[in-house]
Amino acid sequence: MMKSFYSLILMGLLGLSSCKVDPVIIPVLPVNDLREIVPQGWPAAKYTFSVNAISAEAFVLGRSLFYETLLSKDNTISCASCHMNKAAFSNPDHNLSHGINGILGKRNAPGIFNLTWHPYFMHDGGINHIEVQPLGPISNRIEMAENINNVISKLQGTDKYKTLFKNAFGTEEVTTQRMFRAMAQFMGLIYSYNSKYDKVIRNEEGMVFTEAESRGYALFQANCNACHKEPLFTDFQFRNNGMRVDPQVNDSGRAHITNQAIDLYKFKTPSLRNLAHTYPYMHDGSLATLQACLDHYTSGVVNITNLDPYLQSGGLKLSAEDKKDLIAFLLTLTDNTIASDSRFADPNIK
Amino acid sequence: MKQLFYIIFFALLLFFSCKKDPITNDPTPAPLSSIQVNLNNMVDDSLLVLNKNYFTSAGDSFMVSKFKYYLSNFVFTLEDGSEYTEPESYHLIRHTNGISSFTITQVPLGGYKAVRFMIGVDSTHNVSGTQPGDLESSYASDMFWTWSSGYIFLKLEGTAPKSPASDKLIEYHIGGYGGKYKTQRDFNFNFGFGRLNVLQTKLPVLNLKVNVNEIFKTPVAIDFSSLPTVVAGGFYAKQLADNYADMISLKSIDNP
Ligand code: HEC
Ligand code: HEC
Repeated sequence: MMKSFYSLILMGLLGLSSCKVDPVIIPVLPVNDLREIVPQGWPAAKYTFSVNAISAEAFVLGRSLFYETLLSKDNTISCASCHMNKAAFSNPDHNLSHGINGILGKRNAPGIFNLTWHPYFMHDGGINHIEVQPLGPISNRIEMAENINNVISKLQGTDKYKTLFKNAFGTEEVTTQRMFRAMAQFMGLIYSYNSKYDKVIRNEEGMVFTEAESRGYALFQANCNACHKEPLFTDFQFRNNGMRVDPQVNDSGRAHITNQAIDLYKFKTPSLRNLAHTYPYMHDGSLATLQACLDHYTSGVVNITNLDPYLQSGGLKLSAEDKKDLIAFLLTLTDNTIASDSRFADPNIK
Repeated sequence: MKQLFYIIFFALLLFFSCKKDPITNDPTPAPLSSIQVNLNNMVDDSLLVLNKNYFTSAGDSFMVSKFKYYLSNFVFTLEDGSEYTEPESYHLIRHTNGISSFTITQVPLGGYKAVRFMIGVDSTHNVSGTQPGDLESSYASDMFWTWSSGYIFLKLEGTAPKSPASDKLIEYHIGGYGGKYKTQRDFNFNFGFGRLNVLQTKLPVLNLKVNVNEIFKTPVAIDFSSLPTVVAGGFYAKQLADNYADMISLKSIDNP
């Protein structure tokens, strides 16, 4: 009796002092249920919505902005032009993203999910916060090429946004902070934690790896997990995995931001979740298939400046059979709930 | 059982103490007033006029078309040594011809003997997402780097005959909020025997002189022919920051 009393108090205190989200597993959320999630066993998120209280109205505004072409100079391109819902919000059609006037960017658009864990954004980590992320593409000459002042006045001039801003923030006023916080709610609440892998790890009923997937998982842990760390499948470090440098583009990677020689040709380790959707692969979209990625690790690793020590002795050793098993495992990281979840869908398509 | 109640009691105490602000017995809040801060942007002894020709100390000709900078974290020291720290203290100065100014409100009444502040924005506010007020204005005023997040602390653009860049442009976008190339610089002014008197009815003015020529002078003389542009943080940005570290001086304090 006494003991259970103590533990009750203890739990009460824990509950109160944490004031944060408890680790929860909520397999697919019902429509309109918006909440911060930290799946069991995951690290704490970097962005916690503590100054950006989640509301359905702000989320709806953020979604609307994400799918809004008024954000671009000639009103033709939205974030979703390059970050497609059906493809875990990546751009499967192009190896390099096409922006305004079809101009080719120099990098491949990554998927958008589990962003609240990212300590920085972009392949070079140049953007340091989810709330200032949209400024990058909006003002990028090649992507949307628009000035934020114009975006604000365009939005302010529509009844639709007057209503949406009023619903979300109490007045019709359009400010960058309101825009970007709403967009942070939309993007930040796109979680990916319902792949087959997750269900197996959670011991959900009837969920087991096939033999090939099991072998693949073991190979993954031995060869890849050092960088593509579970459960997010990235360690968020900047590393050089031996991709050939295209002399035309000469993308210096992280060094573009830090101007330090030790960062030359290093890129943020990408998550391997949703690989089935996020092709083509690597920062420059130069590898079309998972087979090509694995072939890269076994026979394509170029010994260039700052090649990761882990890959320096001629890359990884994997047999053809190993690669098959690895691919089988990698495909268990596909989470189709992102595409099927109507909360994330284009609100303009009824 | 008694023990148990104590525990619950303490637990509750703990709970409430973490939620509520400490209770203070302040009878009535101190009366508040304001300070006006004037920025006299100058080239040596003349007020800066945009697109007008000037000479650096080294004798090089140049014109300024744009001059903007952030002043932040103002702290005023009262007679008795106590301090008033302006909350959310970020001021974007955009030079138009004439004196630029802003007002710091809600300052407790009294005679102030010193002020300190800095050029730039503290690192915390560079890494915490969107901010309100003058920091929010950075996006529209091009005082934020969108590809490598961080505020531009000082921006000076113009032309110089010696510049090898196209259209003879000179462009200095200085920022960098942490590490060895950080570019915030502190200023600290003691008013000596003078006092800045904050009263209920009158607005005292803190007059600061900002000398553009200091940006090009010491410790490293900037040669427009070899360094016409700096548009990112790093080694050269720091060099310019070391130069602007003495760009601002106290001109006068005016008590009406
Ligand atoms: C023209 C195509 C294009 C458009 C339009 C576009 N993006 Fe992107 N996005 C990209 C590319 C390419 C990258 C990777 C850029 C890099 O690393 O330099 C990227 C990266 C990102 C990232 C970082 C993901 C990560 O893992 O680091 C986020 C978040 C993002 N975009 C959100 C947006 C938002 C919000 C918008 C609309 C305001 C938008 N994008 C518009 C192509 C685009
Ligand atoms: C030394 C660290 C390291 C190891 C070990 C490593 N990777 Fe990578 N991986 C990276 C980095 C860094 C990138 C991003 C490179 C780029 O963008 O050009 C990457 C990219 C990828 C991509 C492309 C993802 C995308 O969305 O573009 C795949 C797929 C991939 N790795 C799979 C694997 C597999 C499978 C293994 C194990 C067999 C593995 N990696 C081992 C660091 C590593």
